[in-house]
Amino acid sequence: MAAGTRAREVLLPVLMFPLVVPLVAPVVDATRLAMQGAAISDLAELMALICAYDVAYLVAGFLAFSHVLEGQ
Amino acid sequence: MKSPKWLGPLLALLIVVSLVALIVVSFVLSPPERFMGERIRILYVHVGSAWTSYLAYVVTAVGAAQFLRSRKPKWDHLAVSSAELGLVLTTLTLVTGSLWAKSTQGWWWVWEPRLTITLLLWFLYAAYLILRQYTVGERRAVVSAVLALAGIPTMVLNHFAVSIFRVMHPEPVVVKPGGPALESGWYTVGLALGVITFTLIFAGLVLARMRLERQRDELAQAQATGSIAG
Repeated sequence: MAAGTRAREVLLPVLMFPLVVPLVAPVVDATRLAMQGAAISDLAELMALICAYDVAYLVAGFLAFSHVLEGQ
Repeated sequence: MKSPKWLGPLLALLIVVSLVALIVVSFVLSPPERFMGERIRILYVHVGSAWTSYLAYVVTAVGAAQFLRSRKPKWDHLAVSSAELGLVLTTLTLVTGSLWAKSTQGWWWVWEPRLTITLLLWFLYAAYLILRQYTVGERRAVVSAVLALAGIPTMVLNHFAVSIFRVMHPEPVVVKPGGPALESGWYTVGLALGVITFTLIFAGLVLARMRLERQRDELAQAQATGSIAG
């Protein structure tokens, strides 16, 4: 979305931040648990969230691509 | 979107009535609460604005989706009007929530599910409005609509992400299975009135803001075709 706007360098972090928080938060938490030697079953909820994020934004990317890049 | 002529005045009337009722209930009729004391009165504003700030995102997303489908400018006007109000309402929610939490719980802010979601919502509104500053015309409408829709999975996932972690925000006490759990009926009335009043104000302001956006569009078009001087 930032591509093709005048101030793309400034805009990218502003747009990215709210969109990546739901990925970063569970990833950080899962990493912390893994480093502490937690069992894989303890990570199930967090891994489910990370997978859900992947699926949601893969789909969103496919749907949005033609809109975002039209007329460039 | 052309709304009927009577809708504006009717909304204005309803807003005045419910606002007066809300002020009377929250400052006169509602007794101090057993634990919170007078500070319960903050919640009459906080709950209403919180509910409306989420409603505003739903309205923005609906406007964005409809715009991408139909490419009619009115839907973009709806989305941006709602997003601007959403930013204001989310700010109000965060400020009143902080004030209430400091005075009753002893902290201004904790990284807790609902607070974090609301802060993220604020960032989404801000990103949406900043993005609109850097683009023009139909392109602006399209990219901002995509951002508004891209925010939906974020909000949903966050809802689940944070529900895994600890909860410090009070649970709902009015709308919950088994009926309201407050001792005085006035608390329930006040909170419900707050929600109604804020929803009405939101609707009224969105209508006014959409009219402004439509007139701006018409002005820009008139200037572009040279029918009036820029």
